[in-house]
Amino acid sequence: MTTRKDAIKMLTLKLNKGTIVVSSLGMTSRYLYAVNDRPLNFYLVGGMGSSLAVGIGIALNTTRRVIVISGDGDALMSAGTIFQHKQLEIDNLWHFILNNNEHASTGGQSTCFGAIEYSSLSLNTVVIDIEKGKGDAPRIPLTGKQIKERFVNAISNNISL
Amino acid sequence: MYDIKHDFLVGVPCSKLAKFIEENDTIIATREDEALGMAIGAKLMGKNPLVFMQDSGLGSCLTLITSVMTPYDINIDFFISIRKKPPYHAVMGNIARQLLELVGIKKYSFIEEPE
Repeated sequence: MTTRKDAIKMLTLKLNKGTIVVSSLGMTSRYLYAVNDRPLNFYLVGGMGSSLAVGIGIALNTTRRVIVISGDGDALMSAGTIFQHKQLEIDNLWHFILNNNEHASTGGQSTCFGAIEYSSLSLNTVVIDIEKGKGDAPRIPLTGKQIKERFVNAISNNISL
Repeated sequence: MYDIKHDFLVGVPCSKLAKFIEENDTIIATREDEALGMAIGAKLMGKNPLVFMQDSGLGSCLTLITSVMTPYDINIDFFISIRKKPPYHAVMGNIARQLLELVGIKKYSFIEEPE
């Protein structure tokens, strides 16, 4: 089974130009920053459970490809957005759920993610099973405001890194 | 009242907002925080979103308001129906305005029921 870090590497090191990446709160965002930081990454440092919702709002307003990288806990928290993704037929949006069946950041408490075959529930949704455990990656040394400004500037300058 | 300049309308329905929803192109979310998350995404892409809900839904939004809207300096306009009745609406109906001010929501408008 792969690690969170390797899964994020696999998903982001060969991105198509101009792809937007939204990552969920916690280790997912931290590893994404460590592995492949770029202005078109929107890290949620906050907004627990909201990565897909934010990704939907972005994807509905661009023709770019949008990738959301979340975890099982994050995806479950706003489960309605999984159906919203399908209902609105947002086909430029891809949702990758890094699943270890636990709330790794808070001590490994179990989630109920295993109850359902999530990838069958929506559009462009891929579950990647990862090793249990939190791992370790440094905190992102950017403020929320910096993350946003960098992202918004990249969009308005039509950057396609 | 909501403003014509809003170009991304997302929220959770309320009977008091039914006319507004019917007359406009809106996205109906499952929960208020999901609506707010979508509005935040739209805002990042240069849209001017409006999130609508009834007062009771404001509680669901507090995590996103305090942990994303404030630290990222992302302003979203709210359109809220204030229901002071039945009793399960009374508390939030009475504090909604203060709560919005407390968490720093700068622009909001209400539809209020007569007392």
